Amino acid sequence: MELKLPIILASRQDITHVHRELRVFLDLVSQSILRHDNPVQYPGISATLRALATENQVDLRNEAACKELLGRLEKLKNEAPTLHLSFPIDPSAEVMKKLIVWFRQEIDPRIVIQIGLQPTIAAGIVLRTPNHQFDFSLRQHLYRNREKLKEALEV
Amino acid sequence: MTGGQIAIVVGLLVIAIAVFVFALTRLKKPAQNTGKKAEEALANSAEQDAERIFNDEFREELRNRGRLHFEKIIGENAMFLQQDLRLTTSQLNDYMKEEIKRVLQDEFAKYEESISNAKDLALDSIQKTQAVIEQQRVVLEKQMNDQAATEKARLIEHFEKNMADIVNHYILAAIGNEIDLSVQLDYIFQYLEENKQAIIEDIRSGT
Repeated sequence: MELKLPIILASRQDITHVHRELRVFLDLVSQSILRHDNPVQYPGISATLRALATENQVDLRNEAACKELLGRLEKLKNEAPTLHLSFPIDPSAEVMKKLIVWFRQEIDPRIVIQIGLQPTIAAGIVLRTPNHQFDFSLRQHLYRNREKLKEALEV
Repeated sequence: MTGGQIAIVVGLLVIAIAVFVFALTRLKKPAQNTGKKAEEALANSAEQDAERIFNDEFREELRNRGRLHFEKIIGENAMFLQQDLRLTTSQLNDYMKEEIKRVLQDEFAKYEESISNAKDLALDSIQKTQAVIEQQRVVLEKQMNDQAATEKARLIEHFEKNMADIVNHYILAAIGNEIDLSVQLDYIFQYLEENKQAIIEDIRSGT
């Protein structure tokens, strides 16, 4: 079963963080169990881990489920396709959310995104996949329509 | 002729007249030698008459008359000489005027010819210089036009080649701090949709 990634888990760094957090969480829970704490002491978790657990309907009190989630996260950390998006300015959370939703719905549900800044883009984005670069910037748009631009300037 | 020479000439004339009168007297009364005495008496009488006629007063009178006549002649000659001199001077002046005028005209003609030649040379030189300048101007104008056309073509080519970048630059300068990605999402999603398949293939081939 594919691991469902919440919107908040956007980048490979996020996966790494949540993987580390889950591992620490498991360690702490294991230690608590070994200490025979009653009840078992569960450390606090981040919103990202909570969202991940909720999205995948995993009960973090279940050690086996946690270990399975950890394994899937480990696998995802190594296999998740990464897209690099360059923006002219820092994108807002709303914009990022819409883009991530689109990518995970239309391209691949495991996609993680890496963000970069490129002020010369002016408008649009530049998307870099593992082997290709898709320039959706205004500059490229103008270049593609340079004949129309030339006609407009001549007028 | 000086005054002394004139006096000598007048004296010689008087003596010649006296000798002539004496000889004439002797010829008119040839030797009708009636008698030597008569002849002698006649001779004496003639001599006395001659002496009586050509006495000192008469001689002085002749001398005065000769002097006056001489002075008159001298005056007339002087007048004639003066007239001749004036005439000569006038003619000489005219001649000198004519000569000077002719020489001056010749010199002026030569001078005018020289000036004309110099003027022609100068005009010829100026015309040649103007022709060279005009030629150079035409060449320079052509070069400048060619360079301007080349530069214009280069600028247009450069502009057309980098038109997108240039317009993008100005748009970026214009909107600078007012870029809103949320309003660009439609544009971005449109391109993403157009390239969806390529993105999927690239990701599948890359993973």
